[in-house]
Amino acid sequence: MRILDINLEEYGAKKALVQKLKSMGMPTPKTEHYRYFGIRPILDKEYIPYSPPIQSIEEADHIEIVDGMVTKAPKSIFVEFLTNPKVDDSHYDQIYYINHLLVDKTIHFELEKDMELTIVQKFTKTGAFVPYRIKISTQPGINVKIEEECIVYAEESLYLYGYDIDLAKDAILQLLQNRVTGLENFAQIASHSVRCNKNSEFRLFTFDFGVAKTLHNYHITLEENAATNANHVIFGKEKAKLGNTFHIENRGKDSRTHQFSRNILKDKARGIFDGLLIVKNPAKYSAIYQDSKTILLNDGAFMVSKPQMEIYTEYISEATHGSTTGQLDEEALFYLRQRGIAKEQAKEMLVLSFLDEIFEKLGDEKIKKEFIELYEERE
Amino acid sequence: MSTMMKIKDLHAQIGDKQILKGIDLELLKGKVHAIMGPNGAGKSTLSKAIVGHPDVEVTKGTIVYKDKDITDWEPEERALEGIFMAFQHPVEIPGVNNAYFLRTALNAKRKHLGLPPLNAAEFLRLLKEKIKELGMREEMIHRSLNEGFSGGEKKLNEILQMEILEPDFVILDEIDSGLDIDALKKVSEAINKMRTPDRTFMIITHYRKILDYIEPDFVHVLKNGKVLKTGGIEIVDALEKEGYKIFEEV
Ligand SMILES: Nc1ncnc2c1ncn2[C@@H]1O[C@H](COP(=O)(O)OP(=O)(O)O)[C@@H](O)[C@H]1O
Ligand SMILES: [Mg+2]
Repeated sequence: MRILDINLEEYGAKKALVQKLKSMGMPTPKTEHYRYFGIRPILDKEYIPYSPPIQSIEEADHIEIVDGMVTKAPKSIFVEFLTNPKVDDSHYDQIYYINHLLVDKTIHFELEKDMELTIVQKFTKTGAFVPYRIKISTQPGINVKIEEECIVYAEESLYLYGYDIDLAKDAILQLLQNRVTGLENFAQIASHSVRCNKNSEFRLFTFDFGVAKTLHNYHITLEENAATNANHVIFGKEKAKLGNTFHIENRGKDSRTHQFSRNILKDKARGIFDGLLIVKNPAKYSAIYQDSKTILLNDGAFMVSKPQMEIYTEYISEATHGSTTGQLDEEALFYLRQRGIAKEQAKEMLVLSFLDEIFEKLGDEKIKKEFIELYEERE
Repeated sequence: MSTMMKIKDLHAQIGDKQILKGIDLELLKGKVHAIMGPNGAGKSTLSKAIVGHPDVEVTKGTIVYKDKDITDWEPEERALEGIFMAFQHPVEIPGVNNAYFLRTALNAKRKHLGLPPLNAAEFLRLLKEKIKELGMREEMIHRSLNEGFSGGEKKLNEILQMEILEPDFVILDEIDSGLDIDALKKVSEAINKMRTPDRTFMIITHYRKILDYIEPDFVHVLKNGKVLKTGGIEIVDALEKEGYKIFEEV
């Protein structure tokens, strides 16, 4: 099957989704958030469709999802499958709706108390097209940390998935997405929707390291006094295309968005950071901040950085954004070498110093080590 | 007296601009050489050529150091062989911790010398001792390299690095600029303490003040990319009275 061949008429039962898709149209290479990703070859490609079958869930200390199906979960988490989940009615990504259209059983995790949770995602089906959705909802006032890890074996395949997160009021959720991909022809398009209710806080860390083709599209909405703090690192090598796009909507008053992106690209890799921060009219006294910096380690590497803001209220307490792309600081590099530090090690010190703020904020040495390993890998 | 470095007919350019136009200099082991000259004379370019700065392209001539032709060596190879430059404008490097940086540099040097690395605790002991001697604030250990340091603190940090790395050939490029008199005394004292029969200093300045504290063995006057005059401390007095024009070729 090809994504482009999907016939909307066959999905009569999901009328609202079909309606939505008809009004939006299919994504094309001209669609804003796919413009730099190269969506055409993916839409055009023949895949073997794979629908993850529901199976029994083994008890474990973490959640495991293999090719779109939960195989393990801790007992403390309530897992169910939803046939008609509530869908974000204003997502900007067509593929969000296509994804929901193609999925019959959305995995639902209901989080009821404070916890730290690991989700291990395994991608193993070569040549397959694997659509699935994961919904996470929380009780009010709880504090949850989720760490998502990816293990990729699948080649020439396309995984279409995403989280629908409903953050209840006063809840705090930290989602760390650790996406290390070692396979060049692995493709992933993920479309996420995060709803932050009153006084809630969503902390997002994304690490896209590797050589694959992945794009993640996040629609995040903030109600009154809700906050999102989003941090992104892309480290792309070889012919990687690694990107994240965002529409982050401040909908309620006193809501806050803070977004921080640091990108390192080498070889012929391409990185995408396309973030639109929107302040709606009722979102008085909100603050938005966005900052993207990129280091290109050689000619041929490329970064698309598009921080953008749309503000529809007169009363805003902060709106700042900036974007820079450049090489490693030659003077700094020379300074280190003059002290006897070898060129490659000096470069690595500078690269790490560039990412330092994000690693510090996360306070997790593990990711830093993974980064160093990947950085030091030489052809 | 033995030669530490011999610079012969050195021509160098930055971009398309010819800056050094045939420098001949002999720098002796255990001696302090002062290089004086007006702004734009090429003093910094000469020191950059010696340390192998990528902006400076040597087009003719040679630099021989400890009997080895280092003209084409990588900067870190020169550094490991004992060439150290205190920068006129030390760069700020946010996110690179001062102590971590210095330990990395010292251990690179120790490795080069066939010595075992110092661990963090051993290094910290050494560092704290030196910092105290220099009258620096101990919190500088934990800060990022030169980030938010005052002009004087940056210069002191260069001196600290020199003390830790114990180089054989030290270039001090306007170490005196931007220092008040107390800081200048402190820096001079530290440099004088480092003077040994095996170490060579090249002190670049265009003020005589620092030479009141650090007495040079030789003074070389540089102008327009050439050495105009070499002599002793008496040259400094002549410069003081008459300015650089007295050495101009006629
Ligand atoms: N990066 C550079 N690009 C172009 N010209 C330079 C650069 N650095 C120095 N110069 C020029 O080279 C000449 C010598 O400079 P410099 O060596 O810094 O002199 P000094 O240190 O004696 O004041 C000056 O005319 C200066 O303008
Ligand atoms: Mg100078």
